[in-house]
Amino acid sequence: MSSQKIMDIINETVSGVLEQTAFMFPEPADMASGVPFEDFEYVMVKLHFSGDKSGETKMMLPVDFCAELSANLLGEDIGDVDPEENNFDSAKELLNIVTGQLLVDLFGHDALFSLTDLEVKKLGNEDFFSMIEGAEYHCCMVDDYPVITIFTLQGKTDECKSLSS
Amino acid sequence: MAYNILVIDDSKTIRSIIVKILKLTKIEIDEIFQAENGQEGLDCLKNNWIDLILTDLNMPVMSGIEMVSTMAKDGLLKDIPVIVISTDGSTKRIEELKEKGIREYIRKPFTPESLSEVIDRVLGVNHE
Repeated sequence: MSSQKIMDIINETVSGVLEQTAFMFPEPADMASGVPFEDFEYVMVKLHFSGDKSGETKMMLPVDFCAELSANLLGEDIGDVDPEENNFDSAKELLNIVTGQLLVDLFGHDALFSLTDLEVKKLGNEDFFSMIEGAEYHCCMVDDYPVITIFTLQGKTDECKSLSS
Repeated sequence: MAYNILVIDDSKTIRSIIVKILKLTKIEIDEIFQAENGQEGLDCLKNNWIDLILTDLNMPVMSGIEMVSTMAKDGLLKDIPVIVISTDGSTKRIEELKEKGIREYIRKPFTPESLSEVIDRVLGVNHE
């Protein structure tokens, strides 16, 4: 499977999950014209998977996007949602659902995985740019917020190596 | 008949969504209990009469699989219907859980309609 194919699957999965769970409709990011990454403060969520394949999924989400995500998930006005209680939790759940769906879309229903070590943290500007620099990442725009996904496989088997190459 | 339902998920957001959906269904509900993991779920079962459990799988402290396995060994708990709601899409995992006695499996993301239909089926409720 080519890198482009994997990116296409990530695109479909992230879009599908955001549409179905939060009624949010991502659009492709215009990377050629430049995405104003520096305009936002980010939260990074990371989840490890192991089993038939292993690796991790990361999402970098603007803090203000997390607030909108929480409100949409809960079907409430943004002002009615407690940001301390819900915003990080919503980001974690988004990653959890995206990863579960991605693993099915990439490897099918017969593959068995465990999802562990879900982490969430705020990123400083420097940390954010060091994470995306040189990384193969997927970026889409949701209401002018960049939503970034990085999917990495550990090259344990030949199949994994060809999938990630 | 009004039902007592236990919702178990480490995500407060997901618990809130499920509780909202439950309140929108036509199912008669007496009380909705919430727990953050399998152990809290078992503690709740010791102290309350529960008619239906909706549980996640991947949770800290005690997973949904561990909780279901513990319930299967307990004569008082093994017949309480359990619906698993999880991101895990593996057919092997679903088979393993069905062997342990769960009644239904719903994959996240789910729609309110799909959750409502499955609950009706498990409780044997007909709203017509």
